[in-house]
Amino acid sequence: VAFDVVRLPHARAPYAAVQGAGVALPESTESTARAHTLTQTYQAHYGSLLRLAALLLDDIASCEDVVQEAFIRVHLARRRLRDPDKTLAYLRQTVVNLSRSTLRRRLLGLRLAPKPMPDAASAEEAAYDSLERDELIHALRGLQRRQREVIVLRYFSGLTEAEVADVLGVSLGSVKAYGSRGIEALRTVMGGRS
Amino acid sequence: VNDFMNHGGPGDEDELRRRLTEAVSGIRPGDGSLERLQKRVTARRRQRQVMVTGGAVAVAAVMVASAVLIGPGKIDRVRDSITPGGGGSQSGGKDKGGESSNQAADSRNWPSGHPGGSTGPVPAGTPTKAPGGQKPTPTVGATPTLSATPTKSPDTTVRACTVGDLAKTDSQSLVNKADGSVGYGFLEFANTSASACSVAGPPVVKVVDATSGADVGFTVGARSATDSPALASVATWGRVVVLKPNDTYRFQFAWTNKAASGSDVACAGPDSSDTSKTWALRYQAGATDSAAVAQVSLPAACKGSLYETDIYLPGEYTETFGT
Repeated sequence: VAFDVVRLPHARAPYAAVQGAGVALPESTESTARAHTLTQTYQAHYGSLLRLAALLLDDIASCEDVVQEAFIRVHLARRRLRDPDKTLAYLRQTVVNLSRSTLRRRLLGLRLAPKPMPDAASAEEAAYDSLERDELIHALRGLQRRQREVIVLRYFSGLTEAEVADVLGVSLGSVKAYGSRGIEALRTVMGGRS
Repeated sequence: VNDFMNHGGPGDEDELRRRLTEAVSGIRPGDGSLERLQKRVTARRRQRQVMVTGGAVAVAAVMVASAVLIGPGKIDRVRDSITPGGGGSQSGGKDKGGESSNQAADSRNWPSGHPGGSTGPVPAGTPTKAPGGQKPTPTVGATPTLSATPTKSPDTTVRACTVGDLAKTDSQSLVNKADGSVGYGFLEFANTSASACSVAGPPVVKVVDATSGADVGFTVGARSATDSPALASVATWGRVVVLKPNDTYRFQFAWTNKAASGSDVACAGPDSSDTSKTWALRYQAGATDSAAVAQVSLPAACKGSLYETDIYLPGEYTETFGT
């Protein structure tokens, strides 16, 4: 019995055919898509994460560094994200972790002095000055790290206690305890000043 | 000023929220921060690629240096020890050429009437180049049964590809005899992840019930010149291929309805005990994986034998199913 002659194709399946199968896009298309995703994420979350970092840290130059690093890490790892819809949650958690690392490094004496302001616009300087003069911010920086993180995430980022526990990797009870003690400490400090 | 300090006051928490938001309301991203971010992302990605590539090159250099230092005789013994079936199954351990290796493999007691058997098609699939300079090291055994488990670990410098990294990009499954008793096919996969990963041959395949996923009892064996000559004569067995993102690899398979054990009688027609279900060729990344990398329907009419080649890169071998 004669066999049919079949020559196997070497060419890869056309882009349209493989797109639905989850096959990687051509390099140029993929890089464009990556840039688009990064821009969208930046526009949606960068500002709020920068302000979150400003409440956790104490100089705006470090805030930019921390948020940019968080964006880089989450963006480069986005294929491995279990739930891409939770990009903000991943970014927020990374910002909290990086802020903590930055403060720890300072405590270890590696970076004692806050970084000098870059060539920032006057508006940014004004915002930073305003932040420095804020009584609540001063009181907040005097809190224990965990208390500050809980208060910022709970009352600035608007997370529930369960979400805060998830971000910080602590129990719900701990979040409640840190929160109430933090507020009590703020009351004490600010009450003393007023 | 500090309303939220009023113990138990109704506006405690709301006031704290307002004050926190107000304190940082003036903070905006600096000029050009998006451009700076884009540049840093690109730079970091390049840095990672360089690190991966550099690591692979360094390990390759170490391996080459080790090979030179150890000497060819010892290399042969090492290779024998990682050959499927063990060193004892080699042709006296002196088999240096691809042809003699194939001859040894071809002397197995395969059932007659296998895909393109002695009266079948002219052998095809001559290697167009020898990948990696590796010599063929087929298993020699009395039965076509093989352990379809990768016998060499994937390159340790590059992570092993997982099911999620691989996607089927091309495939073909053909019936090549008028009575439907023989067929050939191939499967091609791409690394769809963002980083390099490695795949080890031989492919872990089995024929399963397409509905239940249960193994239906096909015997799986390596391609040989006498039993499945129309398959490409892939010179390796147990090759490890490192796939950069979007790189592809292939393997070919052939099947026959002739049972590997028992009589040589082909099923003349649909076997009611075997054809009531649809069968599929299941390809897994590892022998113990529960998830399949791919599963394609197999138009076999009843149980028999399956043959496969090692993995190879598209274009390395002439891929012609002969006449």
